[in-house]
Amino acid sequence: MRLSTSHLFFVLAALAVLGFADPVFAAAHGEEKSGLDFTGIKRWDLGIYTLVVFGLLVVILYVFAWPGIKQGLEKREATILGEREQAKRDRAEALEALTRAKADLDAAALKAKELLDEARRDADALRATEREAGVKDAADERQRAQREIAAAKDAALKEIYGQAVALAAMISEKALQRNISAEDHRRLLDESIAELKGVTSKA
Amino acid sequence: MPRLRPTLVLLAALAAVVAAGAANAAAPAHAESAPAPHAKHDDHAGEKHEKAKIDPFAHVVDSNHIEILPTAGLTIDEVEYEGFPLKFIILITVSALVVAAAMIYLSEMMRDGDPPTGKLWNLLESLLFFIRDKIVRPGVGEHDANAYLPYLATLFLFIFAMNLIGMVPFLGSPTAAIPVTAALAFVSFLVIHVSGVASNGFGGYLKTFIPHIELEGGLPMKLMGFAITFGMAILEYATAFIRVGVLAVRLFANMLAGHTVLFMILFFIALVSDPAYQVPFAKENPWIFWGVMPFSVALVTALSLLELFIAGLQAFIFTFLTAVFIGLAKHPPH
Repeated sequence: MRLSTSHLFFVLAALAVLGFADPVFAAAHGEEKSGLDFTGIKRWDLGIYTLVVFGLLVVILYVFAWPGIKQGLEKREATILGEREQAKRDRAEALEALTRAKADLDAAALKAKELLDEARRDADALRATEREAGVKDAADERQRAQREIAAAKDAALKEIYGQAVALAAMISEKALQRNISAEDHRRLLDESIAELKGVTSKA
Repeated sequence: MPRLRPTLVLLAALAAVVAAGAANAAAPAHAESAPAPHAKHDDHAGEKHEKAKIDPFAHVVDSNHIEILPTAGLTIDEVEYEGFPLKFIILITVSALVVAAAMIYLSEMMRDGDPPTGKLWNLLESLLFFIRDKIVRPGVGEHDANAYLPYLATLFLFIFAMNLIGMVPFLGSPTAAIPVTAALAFVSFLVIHVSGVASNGFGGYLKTFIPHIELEGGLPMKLMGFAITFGMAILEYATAFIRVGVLAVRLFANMLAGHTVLFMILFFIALVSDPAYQVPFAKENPWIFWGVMPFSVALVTALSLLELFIAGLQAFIFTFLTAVFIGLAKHPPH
């Protein structure tokens, strides 16, 4: 076996340490009462007993306690990891569902916009049609009213003419102090109408 | 204030226990002939009373009797086997049994992988996870943590149980004896260095103690470099032993000092009331007892709470440093 520098250092250092420790060991093994008695330094039985009990405790716990604790921790870890994986999957699914819902929502919004535009266009077209129909109806109504006015005007004029004739005849009778014949009436009436027409046309 | 109730109950119980101890210590004041237990008497001619030597460690170190209430005759004597006191041996055994029972209970509860329910299960599991997350993983490293958790958790719980058992007034803390802490440090020493050798190989591990110092120059400089390297290597190798030695001494000293301080503060009561120890001023002014006794009880109650914390802290330090040393041995800094 080759003796390396590190081995040499180790042996020398160990010797040095033992040299420093020697007085302590010497005091510990001395039979005379020393000031260190209160430390129990001579109670080698206590040290050995501690070693035995601690060793037994380590072995007992290795056999009876740690396997159960390890098993429990592994199960708990597996449960936590499983739940974590499940949560990850659930999250991915939820994200997917959210994406789908968002797409559906976007499509619905687009559809609604299209429907709205279509409705607006229809409304515009309807409004234009209605406006045209209204204008036409109004024009027709105006023409009809004009015709009715004209007819009413003619009727009124005819009535006025009749009244005027009757009035003129009555005035003429009184003025002439005699009865005039029907022929006279007609002639006078025609003249009056002619005059009246002349007056109205001038007006 | 319902939240304060458990704390108040704990404090009251602690104070009651301490007051019982105080009354026990004060009782011989009225019994002229009753010497203090384990008092060592010196005969001095000319003195009116036999003066007793104060031994502050008498109640802290291992012994062959357990004094529950000695003045009431409640003492268990001759706890020994062929001259070897068994008090600490019994306490060590009880601590180990408590730890074993607790961990086996926890194992049974956890086996199915269910989440914890109930105070005890939660307490033990929190303790276990504290050891794993705050001691083993930071000290040893994530990669090797699971391999060392059983040893380090057992070490922590065993020390913690032995520290706590010392808080029972008439018992004692086995960790206040250096052979106990030295034995645990010895196990840590083996685990640390066996781990180092297993990870780096024997030669490789020994080399990790040698610093790399290169001095440029002629032969004298090289010799100086060699001398410095040699000296530092000796220090490094010595450190391997000193580290665990310090582990043992730190735990022992803290537990011994803590319990000794508690004893001495309670002993003030004996100094003003027990004829075997009474100071002259207290003989002339017996009323001083009523000033000293409540003060001692209150102070010991407060310090007992501190001792409960120290019981955990020292277990933590011992285990954490062991974990750090294992980590350093497995992955030495370059």
